[in-house]
Amino acid sequence: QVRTITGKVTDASTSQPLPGVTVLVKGTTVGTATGADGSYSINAPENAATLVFSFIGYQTVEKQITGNSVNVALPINSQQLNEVVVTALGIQREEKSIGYSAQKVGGDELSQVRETNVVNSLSGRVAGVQVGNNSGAMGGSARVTMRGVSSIFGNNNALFVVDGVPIENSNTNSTDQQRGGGGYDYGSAIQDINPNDISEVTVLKGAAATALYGSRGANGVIVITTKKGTKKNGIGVTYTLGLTLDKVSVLPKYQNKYGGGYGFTKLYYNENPEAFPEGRQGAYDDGDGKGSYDYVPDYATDESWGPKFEGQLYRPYWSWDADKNNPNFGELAKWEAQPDNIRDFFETGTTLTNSVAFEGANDNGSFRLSYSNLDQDFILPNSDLKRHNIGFNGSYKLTDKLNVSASANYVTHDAVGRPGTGYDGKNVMQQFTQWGQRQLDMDRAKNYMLEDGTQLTWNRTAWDNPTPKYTDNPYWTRYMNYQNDSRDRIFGNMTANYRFTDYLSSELRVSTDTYSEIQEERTAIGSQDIPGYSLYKINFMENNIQGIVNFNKDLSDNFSLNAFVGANRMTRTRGNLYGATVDGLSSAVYNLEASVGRPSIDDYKSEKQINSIFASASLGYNDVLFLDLGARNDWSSTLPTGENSYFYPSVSASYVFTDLIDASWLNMAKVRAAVAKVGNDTDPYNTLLSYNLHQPFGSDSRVSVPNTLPNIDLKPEITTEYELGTEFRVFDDRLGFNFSYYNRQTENQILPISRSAATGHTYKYVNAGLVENKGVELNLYGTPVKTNDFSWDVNVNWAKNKNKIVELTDEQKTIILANAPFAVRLEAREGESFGSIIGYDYVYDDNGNKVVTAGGYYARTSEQKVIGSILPDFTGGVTNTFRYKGVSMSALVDFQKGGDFFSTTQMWGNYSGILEGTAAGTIREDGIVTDGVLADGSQNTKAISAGDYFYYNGGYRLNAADVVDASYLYLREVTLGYSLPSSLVSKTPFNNVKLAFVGRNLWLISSNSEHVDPSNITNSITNIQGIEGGALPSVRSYGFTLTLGL
Amino acid sequence: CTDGFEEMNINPNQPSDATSAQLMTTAQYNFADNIGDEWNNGRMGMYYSQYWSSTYYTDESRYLIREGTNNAMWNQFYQDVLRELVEAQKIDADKKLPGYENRIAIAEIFKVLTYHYLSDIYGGSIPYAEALNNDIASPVYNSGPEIYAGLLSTLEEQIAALDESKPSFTSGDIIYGGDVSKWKKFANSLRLRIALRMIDANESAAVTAISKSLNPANGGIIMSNSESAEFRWIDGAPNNNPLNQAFKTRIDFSVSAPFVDYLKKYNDPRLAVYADPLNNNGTPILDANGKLQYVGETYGLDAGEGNSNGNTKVVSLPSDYLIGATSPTVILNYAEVEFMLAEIAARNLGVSVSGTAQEHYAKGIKASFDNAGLSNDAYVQYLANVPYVATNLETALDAIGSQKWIAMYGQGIQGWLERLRLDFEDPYTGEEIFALPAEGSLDPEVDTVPFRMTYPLVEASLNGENYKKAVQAIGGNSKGVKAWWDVK
Repeated sequence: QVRTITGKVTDASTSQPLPGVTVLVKGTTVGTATGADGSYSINAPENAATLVFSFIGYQTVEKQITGNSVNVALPINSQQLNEVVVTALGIQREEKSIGYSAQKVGGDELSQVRETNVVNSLSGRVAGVQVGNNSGAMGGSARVTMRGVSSIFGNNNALFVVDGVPIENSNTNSTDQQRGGGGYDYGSAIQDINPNDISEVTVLKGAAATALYGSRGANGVIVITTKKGTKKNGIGVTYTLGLTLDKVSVLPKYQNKYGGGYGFTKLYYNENPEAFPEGRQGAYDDGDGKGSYDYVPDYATDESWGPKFEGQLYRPYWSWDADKNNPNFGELAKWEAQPDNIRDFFETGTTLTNSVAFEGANDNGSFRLSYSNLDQDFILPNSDLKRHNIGFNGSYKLTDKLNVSASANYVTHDAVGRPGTGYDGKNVMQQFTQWGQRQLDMDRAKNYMLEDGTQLTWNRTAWDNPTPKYTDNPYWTRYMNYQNDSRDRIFGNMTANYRFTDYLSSELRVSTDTYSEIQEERTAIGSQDIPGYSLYKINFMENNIQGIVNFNKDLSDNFSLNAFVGANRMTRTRGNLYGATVDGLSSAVYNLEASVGRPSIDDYKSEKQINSIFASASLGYNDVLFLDLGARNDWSSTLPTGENSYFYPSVSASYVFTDLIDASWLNMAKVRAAVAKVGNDTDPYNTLLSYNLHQPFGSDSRVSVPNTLPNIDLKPEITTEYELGTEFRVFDDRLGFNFSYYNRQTENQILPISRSAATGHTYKYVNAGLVENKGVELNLYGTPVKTNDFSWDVNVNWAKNKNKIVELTDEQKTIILANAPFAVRLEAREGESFGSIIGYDYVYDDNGNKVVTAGGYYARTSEQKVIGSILPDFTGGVTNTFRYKGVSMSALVDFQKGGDFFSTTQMWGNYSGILEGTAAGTIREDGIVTDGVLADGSQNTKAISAGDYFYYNGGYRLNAADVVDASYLYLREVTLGYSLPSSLVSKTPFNNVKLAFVGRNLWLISSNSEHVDPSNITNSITNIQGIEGGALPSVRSYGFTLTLGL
Repeated sequence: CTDGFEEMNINPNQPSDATSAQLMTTAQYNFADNIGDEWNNGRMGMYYSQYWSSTYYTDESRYLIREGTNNAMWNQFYQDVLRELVEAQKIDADKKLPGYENRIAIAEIFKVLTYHYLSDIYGGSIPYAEALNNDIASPVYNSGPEIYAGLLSTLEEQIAALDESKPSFTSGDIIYGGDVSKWKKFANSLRLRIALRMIDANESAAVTAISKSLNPANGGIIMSNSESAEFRWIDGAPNNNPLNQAFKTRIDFSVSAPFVDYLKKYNDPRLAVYADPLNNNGTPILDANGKLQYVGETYGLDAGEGNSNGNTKVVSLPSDYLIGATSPTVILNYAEVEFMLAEIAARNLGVSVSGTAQEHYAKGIKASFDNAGLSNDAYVQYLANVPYVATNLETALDAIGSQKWIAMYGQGIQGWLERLRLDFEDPYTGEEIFALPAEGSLDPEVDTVPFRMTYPLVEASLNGENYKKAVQAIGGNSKGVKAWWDVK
């Protein structure tokens, strides 16, 4: 028996009808949405008592069903924190009842923004969530950490859980790539999630919030809920179109006064007549009897200390090779500045997204099916990414007691020509900024091949030898030495829910996440490097089976209890196969068969299982006092027998004391406290010795002892976290804040600790140390202005984390995390914060002046020391949102204070005379005086040559010179949204039309980094950070999103 | 809850068992790579011995090192050579399969070779007695003299332990194919090298060791080129000569002017074997007389100050003699043994050497010519240009040292160490053979040539206490500190 209820939904402030509002019968999946005129009609079950009205940007309102007509005016909601939040294991809780910090982000905010990787759009939106990304790398890695770095070697990224399925997000980049040494950034696998399918994101930060996810939740959990089907007024189709244009924004500052090499050589016609075209002799003649000559620059020298740009006629690198039918043989060009040549190399990128979703629901079930494709042409020549997402969500009530649901996602992508990263020839930035010649004419460079296939590069060995010396033509790099990769992925779950009684239910869920990925890299015949091809195949599968019994009942008028017990089994398998040609390619075909030598092979498989049981109880008293207890025990296959079981409890409490204070301006007041432990295991195969296999030497096979010593005595590691917090809302919810303090201590960490190689191993697995992270997070929101038509909302996030490595082991006080490609290394040192940059520093006198040697350059310390830390002092973001009638505009500014990185770009760019500072004033002609004092305290006055200055005072010798402050203030995002008023919509075939314009990475407002965007240097999601090996330019994006509902 | 967990955590990708032969191959391979590659040999040994110059990026030839490569050299000696040898010995001692005694002894001799390189490169003190022990995280540094005493006594024990009547390696020994008598000869020859290195610092111990090596009852010394200890690379990466691999993508090294000029000075035909003539894409550029031209590169130029940048029209590059795919990495060859005998005879140490210093000097040159594939006529002709000069010990050592230097072309590290020890000059004119870096040293502690390599920077972090003591004992972690044996 059903009855039809109708009504109209309006905006409480403007009384305008609101289209697209979700209307649900409370406690069921029966729902619909309002039409263009704000009206709705719903078939509610006979016993239905309440309707729930929800709409993004408005407060959710519940209304008793009285009669057959229910009209509602929805108040605008400046913040959306006052509601139900999704907590661990997908359990929905009232926000006020939880004793830990959970912060929510609406799906619309993320899908409007249109980042290829949804993670990037979290930056600045949630207090304490630090997103490191590399927008210059198409679909590149985005590192998400919360509350600092706890694990010195392990993963510190937040866990992503989509509809209860933990999503694998591991790094496949090489170690060399991570340390800035070069390689491609294949991105983090979390980018497979389609922003358009996201209903909302909840960020669970503390251990108390995440302990039920087990060890993987220790770094925080990002719970993503996808959109479910609702009954629609129309036919339930939504189409979204997104178009984004990408342009290079921050590039290094180049000098435009001097060209490449060191000087011109005179090539005389009389000595080499074959070097001149018919009918032309040399362009110059000194009248010294030697005859006429052409100027030839130092092609082979990949630096820019050459002749001043004065329009001299010279022989460009493309004016030779008569024997190869070069049509431009013998031509001259003008030696002149090319101030925009690097910017010109980059193209305008486009990203086109098409999404369509079908949805529907009836009394017994709902479904939503979506398809989305993304087609990105990136800013580099020959770079594109295509992605298809298919998502399905369905549920059906088989009986009154049994409900089944399923969620399935299929994602596939194909990428061609990802940018090379770091210090590597495959990264064109290396030749643009670190080792190159400033006179390069990019239009000319597009011709990268001669008729016979020989490469034409500016860095030819000599005028009569076109062989690349150090560097390929950048277009050759892009079109000949490109990579490609693809991934097919399926993730989803099947769930059966059975209600025994109205307070006792059980749920069985089987979930899987599996993908296979292929990465191919190539170096063409004719390149500077040895031609080659590599193939990397990755197969991954994780399965979880989880059963839960849930008890949810008001025990008395005062007490409510929500409790569950459950068990989970996780199995994870990996199979990797890497093959690479050796000694070159026998033919121009990219296949391992073309290997000249025996191809090198790395064949790896691994298996891991964790069995768990867990329980949780939430006790509420009078809706003001809440107590949460949680416990979990894991058994991991990766730990030694006898040590593979670990138990960890959590407890949290919250107290809502609004009613204690008699103040009309106070809307909500709450304090909360939590303490929790989280256990963790290790990766497979760290306990027993096995030998590394090597390619045989002829008929003799080779094995070696691994450089990391395994350890059969490993124990599980334990993180303990205390958290205190308070939340207030005042003045009719016009102002609110949410504050957390936490102290997280990670003990007995399983890590490979560094050892002197003299012990025979450079690493040994141990349980070591104590890492402490303590900090505060603040979320402040308010509505300074609110009138009928206009509102202004402000949302401020700010977080400060202090990290300290309190203790490592008795025998070892430092861990070497990585060596930078040239100068510095990254260490975790006892007594310091994680990620110390170690290198040579300036020598300072007692008055704090830098000391200069008698040679006229800075003295450097005799031993290396800590010269920087990669961790910031604080981070945050400010969002301002303005709404006027149907138009909303929002601007996000995010910032970081403190933290350092070592800049290889700056080091070599100065060394090689490419960056602006190397041509300041007349320093190249007159020399330059190092600013500092001599040993006797007097000011240094000795001028040295510019070349010497940048050599001796540069980061290669004096590492501290290129340690750069990573602070920044960024206008990260501006969005302008417009919902077509119903009066207009009603004249279209649609029932809902929305348009949004978005700009991303708009303006680096302030930074102490001269040449590199400090918010754009993340190579990978691993712990190896702070080493900039050859930063890609950051990318500014503009775009729009159009949503049409039918 | 944990059924099958133990089995699940056994690594299916790697063997849990290995043979000592597999590990010995790895140890020899890694050792040869470490002393023969473009970093430790090319940018350290070959520069410091001035066999080679840098074609463009000259920092290392001007003594500013890349800490990373220095660290890698140290690490590779310890964890990729010595560790494999220790493991091989452990497997043999556990399994006691036939021939294990010989295999353990050969591994021990190879450890002596490795420690000797380490100790000499770093100027004496290094972790030795407490090294390679899983239970000792911070091994102490033993002093140079302590290590030498240990190396000599180990050699004595192992030479006695080697037994030709028993089997040895049937595979895996790339250098000698498990030939026990050749290993004995190698051990005795290595003992000569160690003894002579310390002869100025501790003559009596040196003489004792030399007389043991020269006693035929102990198995003899290397007496022909076929007995030389060489690691013979095979065609195809990663088993080709590491310098060959390096030259495939970059030309960072040319033959140095001091070396070329000295060879030219006495009309040495080995120059044409060691170096390539000037050429234009392979076509030789002849001089006015129609002859091949050999031009060495000025040592230690600053970048952009007239470097060749590898241009074969202006500079001679190393020939396939060193950088061919299968060119061996020499560990200790017959020519060096003859020059050592010459020095022993010249020094009149009171040990019985068959033959005079002059004879051994000539044999050393002959061995080198044979090795270079040059004719006897060429040798006879050349010997006349560089007669042995026995005016006094100093000129004798100048003659022996300069010829040993030429004969050891390619063995950069040993060439450098012998340059330091013998300080030889042109025996006929007294002129300096070696040049200062043209644009000066980039390391304020050293101007002529480094006396030692600095300890890797990470040792200060990882083994700090012992590192500090060692630095204090030798007088600072500087390249300007002389090794304990370098007293003249």
